[in-house]
Amino acid sequence: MNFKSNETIYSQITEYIKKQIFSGSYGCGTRLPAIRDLAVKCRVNPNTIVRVYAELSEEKLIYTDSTNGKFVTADAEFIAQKKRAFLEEKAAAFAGEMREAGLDGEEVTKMLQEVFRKGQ
Amino acid sequence: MKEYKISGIEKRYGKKEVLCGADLCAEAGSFVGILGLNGTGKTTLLNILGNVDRNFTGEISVRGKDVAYMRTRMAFPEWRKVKELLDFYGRFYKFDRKKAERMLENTSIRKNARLRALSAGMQRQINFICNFCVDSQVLLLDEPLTNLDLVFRGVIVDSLIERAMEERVIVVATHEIKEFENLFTHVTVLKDGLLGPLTDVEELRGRGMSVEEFYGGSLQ
Repeated sequence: MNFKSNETIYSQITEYIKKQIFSGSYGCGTRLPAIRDLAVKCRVNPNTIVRVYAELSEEKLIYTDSTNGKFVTADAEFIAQKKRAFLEEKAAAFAGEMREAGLDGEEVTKMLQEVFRKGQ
Repeated sequence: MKEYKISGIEKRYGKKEVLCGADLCAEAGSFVGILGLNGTGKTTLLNILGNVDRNFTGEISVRGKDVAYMRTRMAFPEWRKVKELLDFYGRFYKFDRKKAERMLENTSIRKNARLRALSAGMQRQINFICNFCVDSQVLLLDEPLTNLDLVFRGVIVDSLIERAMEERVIVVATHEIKEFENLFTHVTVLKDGLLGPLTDVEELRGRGMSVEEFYGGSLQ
């Protein structure tokens, strides 16, 4: 994984795991990697991963089974809601930037369709 | 151990004062980077913390067998064999010999080889393995990646990640910020004989500053 060096590592990994959950790569009830394993994979301090999992637990996206580790929440409905909120936030930030650049909704939509068509 | 504390470390070579009151207080579980230009006294400081240099003033909370220290060069006689080095660590420290031997099996170092017959890189490997396998409260590493190939650099980084969960303090003196910046919990800059404030690395990034920028800024 490549990290931006001037943003907190824990927030970058938290976002990465969220995307895995929302895209279904880590489906409902999937067991998450052990702290050490994920730390080695990302080449970061394991304490950072502890913080990532704490953050995701706080948001109820994952839960801890005291004997078996961490799992993605089994509630698909809840994850769908969270995903929607996550994406809306991204879309709002993007829309804000486009608005600042003077584009209206129609122009942005057109541009997006173009971008998707080109497969970028 | 709750914390590793050093205070007021002073050291002079003749008239030249290299350290003039260096302080540090790191909680158990910290992974501290000591950054600094060449010749600022990083090795001098680590030699003091690692029991090699006893000619200084100041206080250190953890010393002796509770401190493992990977120096840039091993002091063990070069005509000795690798297995004798392991014996020495086993006698002096609380040493996980099985683990050391497992790690050695993944290198091309033979236990019967004499130290002087090993390449510079292999000497670094055995140096790391021995100190890493000491069950100590403090682990000091002086430029641990120097002279090592990509593969063993990876071994060092991965091994340190595995042990970073434990309640010990790891201190790395290095220029190689890129290799370690995501492992550090804290960094401090050694300059003009003093250690700067111990700075939480994630907090730094939260303010939009990378470790490299922080280091650059501290040097000015």
